[in-house]
Amino acid sequence: MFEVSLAMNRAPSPGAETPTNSDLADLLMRVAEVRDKSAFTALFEHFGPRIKGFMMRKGTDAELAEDLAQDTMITVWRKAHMYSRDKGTVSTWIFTIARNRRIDWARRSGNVKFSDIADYDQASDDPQSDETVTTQQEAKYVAQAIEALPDDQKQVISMAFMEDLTQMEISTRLNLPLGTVKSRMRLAYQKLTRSLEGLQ
Amino acid sequence: MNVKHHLDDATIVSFAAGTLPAPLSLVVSAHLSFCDSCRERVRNAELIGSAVFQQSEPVEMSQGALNNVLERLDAETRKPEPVVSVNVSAGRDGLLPPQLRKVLGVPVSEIKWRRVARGVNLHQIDLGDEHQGKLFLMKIAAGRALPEHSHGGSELTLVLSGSYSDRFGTFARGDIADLDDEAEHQPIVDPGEECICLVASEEPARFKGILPKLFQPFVGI
Repeated sequence: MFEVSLAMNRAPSPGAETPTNSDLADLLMRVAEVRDKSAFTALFEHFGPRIKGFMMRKGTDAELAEDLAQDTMITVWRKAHMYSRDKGTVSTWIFTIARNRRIDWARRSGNVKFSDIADYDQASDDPQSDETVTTQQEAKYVAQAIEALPDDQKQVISMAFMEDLTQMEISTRLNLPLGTVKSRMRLAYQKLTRSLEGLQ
Repeated sequence: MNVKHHLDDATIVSFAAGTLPAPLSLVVSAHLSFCDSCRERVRNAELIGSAVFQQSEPVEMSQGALNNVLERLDAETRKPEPVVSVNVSAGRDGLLPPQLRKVLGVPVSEIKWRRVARGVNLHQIDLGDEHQGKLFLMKIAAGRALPEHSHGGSELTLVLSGSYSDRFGTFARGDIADLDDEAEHQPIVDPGEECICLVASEEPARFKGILPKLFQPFVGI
């Protein structure tokens, strides 16, 4: 019916490097500060195929996924100066750009861009995240925490993050009151936050 | 900023997934410009999306993708993007969060309000036709009560100036009321100052009683 499992625990391909967030943040800083094309190329080679795969996993066809991945990377170039390490990892930051590009494409008939609407970001005083954690390790940890959720909570999280359904759409699809969908999301979020405290 | 009323966890999750309807997303984003703790909560929820992203199987980019992108970057470097200045410093200084300024295009003092009842003025903000729900600014006179209503879907109300009270407490600048379809409330603006709110609703609000039903088509909420 739909995919509930988010964790894949994929073994890293032989010889593939798993860059730390610190490595990726350094590349991004070189893009921001000196418009370094070779640093951008390294980011492109790391993230381009991941963004494309992410889009295709959500059911986007290969051609559009390719366009969205290229657009996302161009936005990374433009907005590189807006990333700061205290906001989280480079991967999470790039995820938010990819997400916004995809929504803007889906809502292309509207006259307002989601990336404008959702542009809430400002520097915060949060403590720095642990730079030695590789972004893959973080992702795996979060995926395991999602995996450990009760099925009904995992289901609404999956429908929101994988199938891009709104709360109302989930409520219709599952034939549940909106309040029930919200309360499952709430419980899932609270459980995940508790598990993630171990990460920070 | 001392925000007392925050977003529901479910709203945080949907916003992070990018699946909150556009009008609601804008109100969330405006609230986040006031609220450090909700911003932190959104970042936590974005870790879920980030994990889905990072656990997706990479798919090779097409041949020439990198060159294509590098060429587009070169074109940009030659022609830097003009800095867009937002001409809304006039009027009520800093009343509107930046996202809202972009969408509204005029300062609050220049809004052409539509009077829908004594002491109640609305200004609907058009986000294009494909968006689910409505977004509007509401200006309510001091001491004025709104009809008691419940909602067909989610409703978000962000106070921009003044304050109002209902059974959930008192809401002042930066506070958000995040209500689901079962919540009923009757907001009353506190005495002394009119209250300006940014409101997004997913479905038309349902007013109780005969008179409010007559008045609903005009209110459009």
